[in-house]
Amino acid sequence: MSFLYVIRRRLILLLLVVIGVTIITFAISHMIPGDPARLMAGDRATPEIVQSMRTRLGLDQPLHLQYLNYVGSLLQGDLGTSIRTGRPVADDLVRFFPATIELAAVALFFSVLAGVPLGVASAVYRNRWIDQVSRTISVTGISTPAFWLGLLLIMLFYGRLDWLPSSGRLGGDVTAPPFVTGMLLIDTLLAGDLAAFRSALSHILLPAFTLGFVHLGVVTRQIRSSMLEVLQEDYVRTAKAGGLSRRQIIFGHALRNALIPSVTMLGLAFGDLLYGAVLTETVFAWPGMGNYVVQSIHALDFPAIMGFTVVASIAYVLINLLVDLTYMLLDPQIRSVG
Amino acid sequence: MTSTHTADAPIDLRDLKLEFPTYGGAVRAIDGVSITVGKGEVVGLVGESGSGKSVTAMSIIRLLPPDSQRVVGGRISVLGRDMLKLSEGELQSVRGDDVAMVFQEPMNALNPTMRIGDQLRQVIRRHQKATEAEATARALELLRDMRIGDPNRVLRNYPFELSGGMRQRILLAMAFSCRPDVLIADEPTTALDVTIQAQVLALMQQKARETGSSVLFITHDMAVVAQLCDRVHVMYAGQVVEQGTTEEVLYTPQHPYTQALLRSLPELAEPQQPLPTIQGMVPNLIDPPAGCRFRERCHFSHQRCHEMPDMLQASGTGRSARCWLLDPDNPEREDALEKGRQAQVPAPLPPAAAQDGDSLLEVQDLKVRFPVGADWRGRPRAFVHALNGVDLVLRRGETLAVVGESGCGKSTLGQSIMGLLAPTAGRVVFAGKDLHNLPPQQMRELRRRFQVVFQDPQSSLNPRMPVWKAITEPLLVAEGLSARARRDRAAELARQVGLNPDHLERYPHEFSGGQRQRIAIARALALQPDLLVLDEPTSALDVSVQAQILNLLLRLKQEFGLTYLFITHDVSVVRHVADRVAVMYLGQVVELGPAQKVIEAPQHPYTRTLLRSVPELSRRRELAPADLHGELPNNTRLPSSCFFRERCRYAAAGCGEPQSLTAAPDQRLVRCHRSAELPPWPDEQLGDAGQTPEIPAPESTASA
Amino acid sequence: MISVRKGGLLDGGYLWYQVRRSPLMAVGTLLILTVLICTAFAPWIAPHDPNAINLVNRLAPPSFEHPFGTDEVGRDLFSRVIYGSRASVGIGLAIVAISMTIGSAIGAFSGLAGGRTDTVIMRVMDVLLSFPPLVMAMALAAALGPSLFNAMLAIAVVRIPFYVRLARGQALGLRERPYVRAAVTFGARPLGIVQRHILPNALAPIIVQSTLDIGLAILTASALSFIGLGAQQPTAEWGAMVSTGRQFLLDQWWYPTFPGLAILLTAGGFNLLGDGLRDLLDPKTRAR
Repeated sequence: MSFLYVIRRRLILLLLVVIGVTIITFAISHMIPGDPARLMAGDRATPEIVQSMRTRLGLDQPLHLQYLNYVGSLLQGDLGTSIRTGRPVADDLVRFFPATIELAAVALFFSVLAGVPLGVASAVYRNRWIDQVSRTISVTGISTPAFWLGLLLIMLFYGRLDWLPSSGRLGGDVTAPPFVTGMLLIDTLLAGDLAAFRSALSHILLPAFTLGFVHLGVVTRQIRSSMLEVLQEDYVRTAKAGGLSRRQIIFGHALRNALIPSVTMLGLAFGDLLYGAVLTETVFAWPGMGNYVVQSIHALDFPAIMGFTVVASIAYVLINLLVDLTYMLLDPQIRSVG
Repeated sequence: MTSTHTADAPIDLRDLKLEFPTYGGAVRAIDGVSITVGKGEVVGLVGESGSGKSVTAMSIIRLLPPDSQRVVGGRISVLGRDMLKLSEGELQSVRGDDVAMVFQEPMNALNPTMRIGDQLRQVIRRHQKATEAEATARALELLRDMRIGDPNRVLRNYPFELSGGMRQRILLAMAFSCRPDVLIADEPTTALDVTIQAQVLALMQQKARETGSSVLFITHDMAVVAQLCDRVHVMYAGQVVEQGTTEEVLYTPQHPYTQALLRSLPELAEPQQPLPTIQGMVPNLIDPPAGCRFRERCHFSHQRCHEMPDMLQASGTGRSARCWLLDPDNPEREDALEKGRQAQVPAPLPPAAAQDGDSLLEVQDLKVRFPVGADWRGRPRAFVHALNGVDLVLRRGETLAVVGESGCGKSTLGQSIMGLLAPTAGRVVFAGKDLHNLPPQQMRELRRRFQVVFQDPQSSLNPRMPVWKAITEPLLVAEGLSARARRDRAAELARQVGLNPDHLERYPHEFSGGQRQRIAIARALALQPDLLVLDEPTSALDVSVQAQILNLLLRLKQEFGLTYLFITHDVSVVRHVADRVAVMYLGQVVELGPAQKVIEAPQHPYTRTLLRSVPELSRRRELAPADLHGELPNNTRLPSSCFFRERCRYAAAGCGEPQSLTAAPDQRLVRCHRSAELPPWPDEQLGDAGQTPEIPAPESTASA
Repeated sequence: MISVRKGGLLDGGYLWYQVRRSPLMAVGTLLILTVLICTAFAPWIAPHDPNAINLVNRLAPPSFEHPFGTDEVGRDLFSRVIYGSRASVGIGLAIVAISMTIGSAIGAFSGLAGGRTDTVIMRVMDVLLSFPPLVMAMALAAALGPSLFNAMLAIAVVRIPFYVRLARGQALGLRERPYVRAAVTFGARPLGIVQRHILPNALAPIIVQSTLDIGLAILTASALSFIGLGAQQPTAEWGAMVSTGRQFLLDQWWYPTFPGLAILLTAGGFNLLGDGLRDLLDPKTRAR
């Protein structure tokens, strides 16, 4: 398959996804109990006000027209106005997105850093105690409710030890750096404000660990199983018969090939991390997209929910495209054909 | 014990015992194996699957995973080192340097994501002080030695860009990279086509002679042993049962197992007559019966065999066998020999009924191509041209063999004939009806008259279906028979194919490979078809099991008047079963005619190359790297000339045109315009005549 | 190389042999058994009525009388955790049963039908798979109205595409097996092939996947309850208990801790069992 073919397929998928997401979210938003116009107008609004609100929102038009209106404004980058915050949804998302990316990236970094060695050791020492320990860690990771782990960590590191803060992204004693990337770890460094950097770091540690620990289990399990598969390949035996050292075989031959299928998995998992952050963000009051969408859901703020879902799905497809291309670059067989 | 070889032999295994712990108990995969390989010697280690030959080979350089097996006795001495006492680090410096190994499957034996050059350099620099540039130079030299054209390019290639034969040559280059004193070759050519096998074996032999390496060559193929080895050890059920020089063991075998194994080869038998077979099965190695392991399958067994024999030396020679018949003081010996001689000869089949010659199946200008790859619009980038105009007529009652190497289209042909694959062009006409243009209902009706047996008996049976259901599934589908009626019919079918009808409630995994193939044959017979398409039906089986299946097929054909289309890569099987043979190359039939005539005097240059490459037991001849430029053709880009021109040593003017099948003497069709002018076979100017005179087939010569 | 005749999955001794080699699977089985016993015999195991309010004894720390302490209205947390297993395990099993049945049927149909039908179904599934699953489930649950039943429906719907993909892959792989091709050669009809060959052989991997999935379903359901979209008061449900316990996190540590632990152990049990089953069934990793 060629690169262009893959890109083309993904772009078609992207189009389908946008159509699908909008239809489904649109449908859901019309299933909701409660009248958005009334919600927006507030409790004390007179029926006249609600009616004018309904007209303003286009809610009195037939459904298909409402949908077309929605898609039309979507194409202009207008995701509608949030009922809860009263701001354009697009603005809200831009504001909250970097925090989520930052959290997911740190979590990914942690989980790969710890998960790959664990997975390798687990496969190399299959059925020995290292394997049992590493599998226990990985199953624990996969089976731990992130919201609960977050609470335990807060209880321990904030409540008992008072080492780390329990919520937010930055302490009240430092000033926020100017907005560049929106990711505080980077922006504070760019501003040269080490105290703020330290504060940002201490705030991200617990949520990133919470999110990363769940993901750690996924990484370990994936690396273990692809290592096990690779280790019994004929070329590993060839390398062994050639007298190569254990290190050369495990890292030079086996891991190299085990990582290729893992890239797909890890990339997809980054997508999962982004959206898995919903719970972690809730627990740590992390001002990201997850928190935003949970609050929107509670408020039945459907423009916000729809906007978020559309953007998230598009991001998901784009991440998939990136992952596919990386995979093709890593595998010489596909690379040569492309 | 062998006496001719001293303790300083490069490989010296003494009484090696090795176990695999399993749930059912410890499997004694190697039980008291002693093997020596002298300096510069090529020693063969032959046996059927499960005999322990590969485990022995791997254990020599301790390649088996440490926690899956344990050595429970004996000694492994390689170049004077006690391999059982070396640390992992010391083993690493022995492997690849002093002792090299090549394996069976070249397709996966190289790291798919690493360039060839990096893999070669890595091994070289592991054992020798060399800069990257020096290692590259050495790698180039090695590739040139292996007659690899354009070695500079190959160093930059990834494995998937190279053919199986090329990869095996690269693996040989890697094995010889540090001038090993010992080379262990574990079925290195089993996965390769015969023409490629001939190249690889010749290169290996030549290089081993050059470096003075000792070679332990593991194989299941007696004919390869005959071509290559100085001495040979025969293994059975974890033990060496016979050893001696190649000529001694192959031409006057002493052990009843060796004798039986050789006799079951179709190569040495009268065509279309039953092959002698070995009754029973290899004993379970978890708890083998006391005494001789072969006792229960042996025609010569007697009271004394309840005691395990040692390797007994035959009088006056260096050969020995693990059999009491070699003990001249054995009082039961004469009786046992007499008993064995009488039991051995299978009853000949009655002469075959004359084939009435009307055509059952016609293949007309059949073409099949498969799309490969996808461009940016998802359209195929190229086509694999699997069949490029095949014409065949199959006559009622005959066995037509289709023979060729991988990629020649023989399996595609089989699938098209079975209606499993729609052709791109051309027709398959069965009993006057165009198969691929029938309405579904009529097609289903017609399908009952031709059935198929696949190569791999393991995957051709549903693992979750008891055998009686599998056998009679066709009856359920076609006739909707009741379960009771089907059970009765299953028992009858089982008896016909030599299965125990009491075992029909069992599931496929409870049967051996040979038995599973019998089940598949029974299923194919259930609807009493006219035609059986046999797609390499014995290629996954050991020779002794192959003999049983071939016998069964021959008998069934006579009993039910079947017609066979027999697809195979094995020339000796063709010779044994076929009335006529079609030789295929690059999706075309290049020669078609009576099997015996084609094999004895091939006309098409490709048929000649093919037959020249087939190792033969009865004709020991020097390996000649004759066709080294020969790579199997690429069937994505078809040549506009004769398809074989590039590899053909007789190519001349006029070969630039596409060739057509034209009539030749002896009721033959040959796709070569020069077939009449070619020199007579065997091509004498190439030194093809056997260097050793014809040696008679082995007889029961146990009395030495 | 060496084949051992014994060792079918139904050979009890073989199972025990595998348990000794892989103790984690045994741990998983034990965990699941414990939880199932709690589910079935909750009224006999639980020392108190899970909904009995005792305002005098609010937020009591763990004691002999109340091993997990009591909550803000004095209900016995131990009894509530025991009863909570009913909600969690029930919802987990229900989710998987629904999504597996519907998804596998669609997937097998799609794979065998091939052609345009297959393409259309798979494109739709690709679209569904591109939605962030948790968010999708949350949105659905919110739209349907917060309740345990709606949470279950929402999660089940979101899981369907995974099973479609899995079953389709199985069907495509099995379709190429020689025994299926042989069935074609004697004229078997598609439905017969599905019934005799595809279903029995595709079932095992799907069951393994669904075992792993039960763990995930329990986690997701508890997450929905945690953010208030699942079980409502006063239902004893682990996620909801953690959610309420969150307010008492710093002073009454036991409140959120024990229900969360129950989620971990239950999900862990299913994951361990699923892992073990996969190892047993996968010939590549299947130990000698």
